Amino acid sequence: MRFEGQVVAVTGGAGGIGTGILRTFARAGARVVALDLQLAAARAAVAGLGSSDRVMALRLDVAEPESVQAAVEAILDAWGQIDVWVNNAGIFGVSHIADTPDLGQWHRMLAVNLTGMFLCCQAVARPMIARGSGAIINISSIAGKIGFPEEAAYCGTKAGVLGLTRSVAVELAPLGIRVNAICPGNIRTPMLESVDARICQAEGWEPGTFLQRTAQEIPLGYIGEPEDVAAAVAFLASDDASYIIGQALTPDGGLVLY
Amino acid sequence: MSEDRARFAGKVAVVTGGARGIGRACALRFGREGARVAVLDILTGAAATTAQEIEALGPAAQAVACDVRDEAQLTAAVNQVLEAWGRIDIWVNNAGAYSGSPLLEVPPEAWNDTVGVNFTGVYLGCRAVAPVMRRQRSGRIINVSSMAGKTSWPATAEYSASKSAVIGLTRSVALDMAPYGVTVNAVCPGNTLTDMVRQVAAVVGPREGLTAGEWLEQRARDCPLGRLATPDEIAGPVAFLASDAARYFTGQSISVDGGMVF
Repeated sequence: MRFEGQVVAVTGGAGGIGTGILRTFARAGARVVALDLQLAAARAAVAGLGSSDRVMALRLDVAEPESVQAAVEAILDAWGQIDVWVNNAGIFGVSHIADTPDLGQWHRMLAVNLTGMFLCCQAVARPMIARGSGAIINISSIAGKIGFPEEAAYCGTKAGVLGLTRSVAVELAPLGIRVNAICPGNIRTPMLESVDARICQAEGWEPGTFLQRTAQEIPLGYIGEPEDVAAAVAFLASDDASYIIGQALTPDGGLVLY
Repeated sequence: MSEDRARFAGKVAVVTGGARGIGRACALRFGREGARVAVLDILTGAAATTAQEIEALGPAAQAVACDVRDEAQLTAAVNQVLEAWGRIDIWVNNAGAYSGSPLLEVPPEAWNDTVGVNFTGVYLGCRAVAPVMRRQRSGRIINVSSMAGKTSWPATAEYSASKSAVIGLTRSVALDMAPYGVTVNAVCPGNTLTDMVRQVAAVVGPREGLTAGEWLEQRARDCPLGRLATPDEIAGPVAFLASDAARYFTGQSISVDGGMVF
């Protein structure tokens, strides 16, 4: 049980990838915290992962500094430490650059996908610095490495995550804290299924057609599972990654190639 | 280390340049986690020692004399491993050579040697094992590049070029092998405490007016993490890429360099 005795917190814990990450760490012996805007969904994400002294669910709005601070303090009050913090909360949306009605979507995506990650890094860095150890893993996307149409805000914020990761990584490395990112490719989650539903409806395709076509474009030929991302997160959080900082690992089935 | 005695149980791993340094650390790591391991090297004595160390841990191991510049020797090595164990699940193209001279002083033979081992040797290694893994419809190839494959320092033309070439090769071979469920990735180590880096320190240090020891201390200070890597710290990521958990990674070159190159 390689994470026995450790405390692992995951923002956006109720989402597809977040739930997969929680499951992987709980199986590896960690006490896990699901943090999500939807408290009921966070509770559901950790239900069945362990007894009440081993799992926790808290409401968290990553875009609100007070909410972030309160969540970090609640975990420390309960369990005294945070070993691994996974910044996974994120929102997705599309909008043609020339047809964007207002800045609402832009500001919301910036607040959740980038500012939220900054606030969480800041809040969790303090107790990690005090202990002289810790690992932070930020979930970016292949959209942080390459461009997709109508995703200016999403691609922009996910690329921003990589810059944030590099800076915080070199800043915290001398203090014993490793910071890295992951750029998942197409992963089977409710978020991706909603994209499939939207596109298939717009194109008049059978539901699932978009996912099928997407899989064919991936060199390995299939959509990834949340566990594929979780495995990379667990690797980065482990001693095996002790010499890796500031990097963006990309489990994408060979789509991006860098 | 996050070791799991059963992670590679039943698997067969082959490591080129497995006698010393990073290759030895990878070979031992696979052995500790249950794999049978073939240690390929031109240094037959040191390869035999590494193989004995693995056998002392439990799994079967063999040392195979192999110069990765010679396709016939690689083919013979593949056949020897297949005859013994019937399959090859993990193949690490790790054999490497260093030479570094200012551009106008690079002797042609140094260019040929460095590119021959570091680049052509990796290509020939991929060629030798690819048919086996295609037939199995499974397998993991891991190429050892370098941070010098992603950036450069003065007087490293042949080394840097050969290591960059490995990154390009990795991407292309990944696409060739993806339809067969075989993944191909690279790691790009930073300064790692091996005989090779000590040799670099002895060559490059004096050029910069430093002793080898001072040069190594300087490299540690240059690194955001503040120290050099141990060979085990490179073997950990190699083992991850070789594991089932990394099945969705292919064509990637992962920097394991303490923050030297982004």
